[in-house]
Amino acid sequence: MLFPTLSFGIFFLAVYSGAWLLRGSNEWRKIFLLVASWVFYGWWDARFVLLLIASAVLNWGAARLILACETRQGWRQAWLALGVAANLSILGFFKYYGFFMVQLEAGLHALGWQRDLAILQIVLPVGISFFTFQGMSYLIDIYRRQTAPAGLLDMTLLMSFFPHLVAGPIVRASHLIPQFQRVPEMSRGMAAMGFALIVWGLFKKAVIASELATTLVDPVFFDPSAHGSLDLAAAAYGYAVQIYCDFSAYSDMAIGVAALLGYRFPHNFNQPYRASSLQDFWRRWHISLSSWLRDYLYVSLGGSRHGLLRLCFALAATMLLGGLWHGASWNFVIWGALHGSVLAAERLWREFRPKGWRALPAWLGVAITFHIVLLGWIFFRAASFADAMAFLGGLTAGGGTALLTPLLLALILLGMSFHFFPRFTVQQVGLRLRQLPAPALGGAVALAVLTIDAMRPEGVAPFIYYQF
Amino acid sequence: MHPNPFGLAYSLSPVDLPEPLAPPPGALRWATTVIAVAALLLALLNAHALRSWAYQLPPGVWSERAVAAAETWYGAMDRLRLNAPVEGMHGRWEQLRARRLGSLPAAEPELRRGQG
Repeated sequence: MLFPTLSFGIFFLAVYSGAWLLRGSNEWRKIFLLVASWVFYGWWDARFVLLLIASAVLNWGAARLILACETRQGWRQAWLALGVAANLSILGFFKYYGFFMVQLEAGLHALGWQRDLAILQIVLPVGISFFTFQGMSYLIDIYRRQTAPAGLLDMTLLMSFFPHLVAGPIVRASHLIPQFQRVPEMSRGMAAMGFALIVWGLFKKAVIASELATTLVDPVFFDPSAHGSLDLAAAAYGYAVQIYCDFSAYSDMAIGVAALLGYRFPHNFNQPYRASSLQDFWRRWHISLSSWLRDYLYVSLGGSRHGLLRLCFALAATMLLGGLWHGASWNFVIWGALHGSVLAAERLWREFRPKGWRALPAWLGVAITFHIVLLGWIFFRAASFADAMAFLGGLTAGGGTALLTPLLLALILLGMSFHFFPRFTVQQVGLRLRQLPAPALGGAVALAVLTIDAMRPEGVAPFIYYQF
Repeated sequence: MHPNPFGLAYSLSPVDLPEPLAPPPGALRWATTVIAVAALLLALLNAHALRSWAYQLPPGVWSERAVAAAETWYGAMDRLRLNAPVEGMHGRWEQLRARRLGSLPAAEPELRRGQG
């Protein structure tokens, strides 16, 4: 069930009505939301609802075992290690089994082993990376005593809650469990922001991302060697705008939907293409994942506590693993390596920049950072390493455009301009919306949705991050 | 570090707006009215979306009934000319999509079912 569909609209109307009718009993309200979340997830494949429940029970149980060994540090560490290993095994099996078996088979062939391995075709459960990371963060937070223990119902709801279930934001237990422990209250401001974010996300996804994907990015990346330099350049910029509009749209709609049910989710994007360094970019892009990687991986790898060399290693390793988190593909490894090496280089430059050398002007830092990110996106989007190299080679080979239209150009420029708006533009809109009488705002929401619907291509492509 | 007993700290969510000194009462009723008005207007003015959705349902008895109901609804709204605004906007948008850069010929605009 995709957010920008009528099926989801009808589902949400039912959940909204049920959740607020049950506000007299927080426990029943949570049970209702949990069942609704399973219906939402089961819409793709009902079998994986069991996996979701098993994952929640696993993390809840492992956390209880850690808590039961309060004074025995060795046991606490052992239960944590077992819990994390179990989570990684689930993720590894579904996400990386096929990739590693293919690599193993290729390696054996190279050594002269000519028989083919029997490789199972594994269906990837939607959102498995997101809910596994969510469960692991709870376990580690319990070990570090950074969050209060959750009951089984709260823990299961935390991992299953449908607004963030399949593509984030990765909401931590310490952020959401306390909100689950009382009947939420919804202010007018919260509701107004919910409406504003849902409509804004719908526009970014259904109009900008979908149009760019179907008429420019997909055809060019399908066969880069068949297109001229101008089309390739347009597709590269187009993809940068598409992935931002697609992924930030999902986050906006998830945050808006949660707000209308009375829950507050954290920011996940903050105008990332205005970043003046790659470090700054990662403070603005997919904030819930980058802070997850920082707190649970980078810090665990030593972070900045053991000297510069170790710090550079921790940065590079974190980004490499961050790349692999997106999927089992050499292109994601290259994407992660590019980000890791540039982050390390930025850090070294800050340490060893010759005295008297002035820092880059901000605009130049923004332009350089954006183009490094753009280079990474080409590897991220291309179907294979060979396609990525063909794309890069074609950028300088010459040739005009057969695909770029005035509308696509306008959408690329519009998508880029979002990063240079005043930071709290949507909140300013929300402040005005909450002052409107309800019928007027209802009319405005309907008009906005009608306009978006008239502009969107037929059908809805899944969000890019559903595959992760 | 001690866990925050209230969850996500204020200002860390995009939905956090400064509350007025006297917050207006009845936020839930206000939000529900917004949703009800928007849903009603969309049902009246966006019958083609309802019809497309019905056609995309998995085949079965229920989907046949849904398609028949959606077609009836679409026809009723068409007679009231309530489908015209969205279809007009869509036509304009398709003309915009069909424009080409420079001297390249314009592409044929795509029309939705029920148009043209």
